[in-house]
Amino acid sequence: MEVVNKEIKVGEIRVIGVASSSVLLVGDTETIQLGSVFDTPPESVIVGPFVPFSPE
Amino acid sequence: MRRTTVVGWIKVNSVELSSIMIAGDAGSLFPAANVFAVQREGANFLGNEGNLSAFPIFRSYVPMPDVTEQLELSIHHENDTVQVGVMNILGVSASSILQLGSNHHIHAISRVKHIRQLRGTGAEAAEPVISPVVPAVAVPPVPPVAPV
Repeated sequence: MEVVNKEIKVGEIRVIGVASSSVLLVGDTETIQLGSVFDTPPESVIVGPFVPFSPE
Repeated sequence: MRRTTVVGWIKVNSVELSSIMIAGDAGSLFPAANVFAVQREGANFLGNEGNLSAFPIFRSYVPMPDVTEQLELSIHHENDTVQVGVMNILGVSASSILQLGSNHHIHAISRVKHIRQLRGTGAEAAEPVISPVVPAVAVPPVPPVAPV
């Protein structure tokens, strides 16, 4: 594959947030691997008496 | 050959929780974030909770796209700069990276678990909302240090 990089000229970039292992890159990279697990299932709602989580 | 990044003006309000701002090139980036977010009705937080290994999400294998594929790549830079006039970033947080420049490899992983604990409508709803007073642990007196 042949790639020809021509002019990149961006006027303004406004970002509110970059979070949770995200990357904001102004430049080049060769390989990217991203993995994400996000867990908020219905059973994540615990209704009942207060039970603390196991301590550290 | 690598391209050069040119940014005319940048404002970053905050970089927090193990995040990085890099001006220049880097080899490899391996950001990882483990987040355990608890929303609790009644705000009883004991301070020592949060044993992440108790939850499989923080131990499980996360599949990643392969980067072992061989490909013949020829890159020609007709223009060897990446230009941005103005950048305004409010926040970079939780193991995130803001880089003005190039790198070889990025391997990022994020694990987030949300739990909401509600009081319900039964007898437990009558529990006090204010955190219970944690009894103070008695600290043994420090023995005097013998003079040298």
